[in-house]
Amino acid sequence: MIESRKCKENFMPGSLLSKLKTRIPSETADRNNGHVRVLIIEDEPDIAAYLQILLKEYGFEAACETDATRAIAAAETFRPDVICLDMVMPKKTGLTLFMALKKHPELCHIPVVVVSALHPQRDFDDMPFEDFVRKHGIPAPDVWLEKPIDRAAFLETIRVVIGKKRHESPTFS
Amino acid sequence: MPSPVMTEETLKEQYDILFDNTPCFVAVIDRDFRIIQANRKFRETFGESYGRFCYEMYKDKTERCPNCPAEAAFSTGVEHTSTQTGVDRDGRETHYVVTATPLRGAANGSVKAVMEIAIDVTRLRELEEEKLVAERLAAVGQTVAGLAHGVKNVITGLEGGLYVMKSGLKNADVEQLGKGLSMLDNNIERISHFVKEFLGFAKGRLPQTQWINPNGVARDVVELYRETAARAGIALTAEFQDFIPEAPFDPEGLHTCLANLVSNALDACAMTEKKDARVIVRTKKENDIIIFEVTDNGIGMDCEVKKKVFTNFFSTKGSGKGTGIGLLITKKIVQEHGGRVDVVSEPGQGSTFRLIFPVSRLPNPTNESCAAPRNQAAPALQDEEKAHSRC
Repeated sequence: MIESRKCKENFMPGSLLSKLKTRIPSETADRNNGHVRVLIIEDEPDIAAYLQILLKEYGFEAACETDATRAIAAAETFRPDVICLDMVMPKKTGLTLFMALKKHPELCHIPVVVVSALHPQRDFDDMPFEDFVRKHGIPAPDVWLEKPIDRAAFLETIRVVIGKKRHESPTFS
Repeated sequence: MPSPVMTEETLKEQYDILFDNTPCFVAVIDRDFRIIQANRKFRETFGESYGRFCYEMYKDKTERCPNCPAEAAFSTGVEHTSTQTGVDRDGRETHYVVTATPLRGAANGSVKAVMEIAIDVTRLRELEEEKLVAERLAAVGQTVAGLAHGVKNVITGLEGGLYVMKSGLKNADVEQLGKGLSMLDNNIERISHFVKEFLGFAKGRLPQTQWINPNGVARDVVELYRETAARAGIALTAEFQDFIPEAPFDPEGLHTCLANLVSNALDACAMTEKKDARVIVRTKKENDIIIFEVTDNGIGMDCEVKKKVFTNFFSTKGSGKGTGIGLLITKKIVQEHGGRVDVVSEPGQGSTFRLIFPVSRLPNPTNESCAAPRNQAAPALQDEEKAHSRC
């Protein structure tokens, strides 16, 4: 069923946002997302299960890691095409993990979609998240989706991010 | 060369000019507490005063003020300073910092009179009160924003549960249906708990301030958590400074704050696998500031978490273990005492939370008939006496 709710304001690069807006809503669209691997790093088991079931229903291969301290190892093993990353987690926060992922020689190229209850501008008082990571020489996340997510936008975001990665990375198989 | 008579006249004239134009209230008071001299600012503010009692002029009273700095200067022979509240000639409440200096007749002679120099700090006091109100309003705003933030995860869980349940129905998958129902159950329970905690926070309770021994409350909290810490293999120790004077606190509120901090510190230690996990509760008084400190060598926080801990229903304790309200309540209670909360933390190293209470900003005891502190003078109901001698 197509979501009637207005698509939430999300942080993402302008070109990607406009591309996405022209394609939403499409929750019922193409379910043939053959073998695209998505790793969900989310400490809330219910939300992790929700995203995993949703992605599987739409043809993605999805795995969850609810313990942030094991997230890097999970990514090294699972080798996802895209990572969905929560921000507020015990033991290790999304910010720390994001920085670690982007500094990891084998994982740094993996697109990251932040799925968080935090807003990248409003909830970072001193400096917007994007500016903060750039200050540390790290590119901003590909997309930032604020919870609660719009399912159609979430699914389309994953597809667009993968498409962008395929387009920009000729070595991607 | 001018004649000696001319010099004396000139000096007298210069003295009168200086005395009259001093930009604060200056009055000389004899042993009967009658004003025998007052400068122009004093006369303009309080009216003609020669021969009238100082308490009559300053406060429109018929008897001496409790903890009078002039009386202390007469009796001890040294200077005394205190903060006083009075009324000006138009009946407006006025706040002063008063310094009473003994005037001796001759070298080492008896104190004949006292000179009181008072500085009007009414505007300063108003600004302090406005700041307190602004801080409280800001806390309310942050709380409302925090409520919305905290609910977002629950809504996502509810939406997820509904989706998974529908999907189970559609696919005739009983296991998935059960999973969806369980997700709905979990999140309904969470939101119920969340709302109850929020209502408790919003409604709060009026602080019941009384003179208490700060170490006593800290000791109670350490005792409360001693067994929990021992079971978890965490060393919980107390390092209290001796002889911290009694001060006006809401004991229940202070207990809540310290209990929240100690509980969080134990959780932060439990998240690590350190063999030497420890939590230290400290109390101290430095420069008229009472400090409670809770230090742990637990998991610590990065800058992202540090910025959020006091502004939202923000928890990193993991699903089902916290709503994040504890530190919000702590901040609210500390602000009601005119204090602030500081945090220093390093990921992997641990955290130190400090509750910092300037004694001058602590509220007056709620119950006027409350017993005065055992180790200092009774506070006047209207005055905030902080008499101290400078020998």
